[in-house]
Amino acid sequence: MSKVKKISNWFSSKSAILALLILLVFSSIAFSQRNFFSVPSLMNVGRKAASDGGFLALGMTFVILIGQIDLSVGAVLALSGVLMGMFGNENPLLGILAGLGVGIGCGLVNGFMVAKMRISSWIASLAMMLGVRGIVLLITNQKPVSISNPVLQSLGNASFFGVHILVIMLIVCTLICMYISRNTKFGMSMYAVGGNEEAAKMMGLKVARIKIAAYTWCGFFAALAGILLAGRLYTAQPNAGDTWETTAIAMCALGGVKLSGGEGKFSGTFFGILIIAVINTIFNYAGNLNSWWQNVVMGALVLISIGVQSEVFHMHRSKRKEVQKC
Amino acid sequence: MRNSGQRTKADTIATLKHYSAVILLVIMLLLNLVITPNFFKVGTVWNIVTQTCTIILTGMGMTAVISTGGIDISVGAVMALAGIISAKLLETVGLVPAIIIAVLICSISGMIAGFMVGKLKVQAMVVTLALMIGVRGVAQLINDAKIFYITGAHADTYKMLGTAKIGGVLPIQAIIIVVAVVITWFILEKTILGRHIQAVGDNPRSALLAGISATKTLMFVYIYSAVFAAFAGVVASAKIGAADGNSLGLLAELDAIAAVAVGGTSMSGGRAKVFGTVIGALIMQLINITVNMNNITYEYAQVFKAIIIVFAVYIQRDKAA
Repeated sequence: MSKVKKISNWFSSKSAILALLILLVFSSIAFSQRNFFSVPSLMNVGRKAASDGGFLALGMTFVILIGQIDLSVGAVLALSGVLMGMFGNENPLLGILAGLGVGIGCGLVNGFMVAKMRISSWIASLAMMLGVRGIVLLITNQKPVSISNPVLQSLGNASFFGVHILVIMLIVCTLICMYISRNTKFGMSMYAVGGNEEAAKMMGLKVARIKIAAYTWCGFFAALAGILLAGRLYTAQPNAGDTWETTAIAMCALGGVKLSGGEGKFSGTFFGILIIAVINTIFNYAGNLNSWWQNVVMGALVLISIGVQSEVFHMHRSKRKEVQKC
Repeated sequence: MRNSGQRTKADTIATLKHYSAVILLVIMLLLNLVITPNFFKVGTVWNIVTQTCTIILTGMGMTAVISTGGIDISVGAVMALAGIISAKLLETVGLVPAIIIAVLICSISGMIAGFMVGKLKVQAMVVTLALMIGVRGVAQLINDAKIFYITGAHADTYKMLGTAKIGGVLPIQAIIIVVAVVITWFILEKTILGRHIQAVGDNPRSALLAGISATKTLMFVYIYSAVFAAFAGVVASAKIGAADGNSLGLLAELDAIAAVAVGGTSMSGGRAKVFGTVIGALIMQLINITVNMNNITYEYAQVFKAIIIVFAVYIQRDKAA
């Protein structure tokens, strides 16, 4: 392999980090008067990353790695936040357990529909999204639930040594996910199932069980996101997380997680989360810029990043693959 | 198997499965006959037709896309873009040019999707997801995310596209639906291109070996979907007499996907059921109407819809898949 190829390969494999760096440099120059590149401002970016769907993207990565999709994460986020508000104001532990429990439950049902009933994950999780959102609107009567318990409030607002709890949680969760995906049997089998389900089955992996487990993780992270968001805002909104599933998928795609399954890293997703948070912050800072440009830029960025990651830019590799296939 | 003369139990089940969407539709109609007052009136029937129009239009494009094994989740955003472009241009260029320009601009979105899926071999979902975010942004930008009310010289003719009734009874949507379904059915079932579409969806490798250009086929399919979504956006904005970049066609992609799936088109590609999609769209709309006419709250409707979608897809899934 020639040196040029090596370098270009390295860059395309690290394109998420590269994009993040470019964005950071750009914004620190553009907003130099407002101290973009300062600790409080970067902390703000981190907090935004965690509260605007970062945890959803981590959960979504599990599901995407096995080659499926979960559209219900936004609705599950709302449900867990609302349940925490309903049960948690007297007994915070009960509230947290209720929130996380319902998320895990939704994940299990999703996994069951996909793995055992063999319904396409699009349809199963779409139905879940409609159903869960309906339940949320029913039990709240479309009114927000206020979170008055100080323990629950501190869940989204405390900080340790000047670092916001959401940032710490996001980093810890990413590290846990990275550990799971790299060092456990479950993590390895996720890649196997996503890469080639038939082969995984022949290897003796319990494919259905792995799928259900991946969905359960996704549900768990959606619920965690809901709990933290409700705690941070002091209320649980019944329409929280609406259309956030698309943001979560975009974060994964930006991070280089292959949406057909079997390829991708949690560290990639983490950088994808940061990229979207930086874009959001840029649009916040540039107050006079029309905020609808945000969607246009985000769409264009996702298109470019997946274009760069596509196989055409790895010609030699795809050609070799083609030969093997034939 | 079914032509062998004798009918076994397995055959009966297969037949039932084959027509399960129709059976579900009939059950829902009968259920409505019993529980919904004033259901079987001509007005209600036309009401269903008018309201299903956008789901069927987007569903036709979606059927073609899904039968190639892809998916197009940008249709809702494309609807918004088409609606707002045609509404804005109406005053200056006139009715027909406005619609043509809107459709052409929207077909660019389809072209990008087709190019990236067919040529660059990126997963359909990511591409159309990016387009969904980006195109929605453009639609919002065009009118600063405000609602654009259609006024001016051509406003009435434009609104006719969504509200006209031929002979005083038959809504114009019925004609649009028939034309769209016939064109799609003809292309998918009667032309070589249609065979290519299903071949690419069934097994891209053998399609390649059979000399079918997947790139061209995919380009066609995504442009087709964008064009139909654009027409759906025009009809939808004409019906309400306004175009809103924020809410026009919001979640329309999910309705379309659900209609396609309930209609029996395999999500993994290779099997297109045009009339199934029509029935699926009718079922989705019938749920909404049942709920509306019986004063059931909207939230129950969503739960109900979820259960019906899962049930319908579950009973007709492939055992082998």
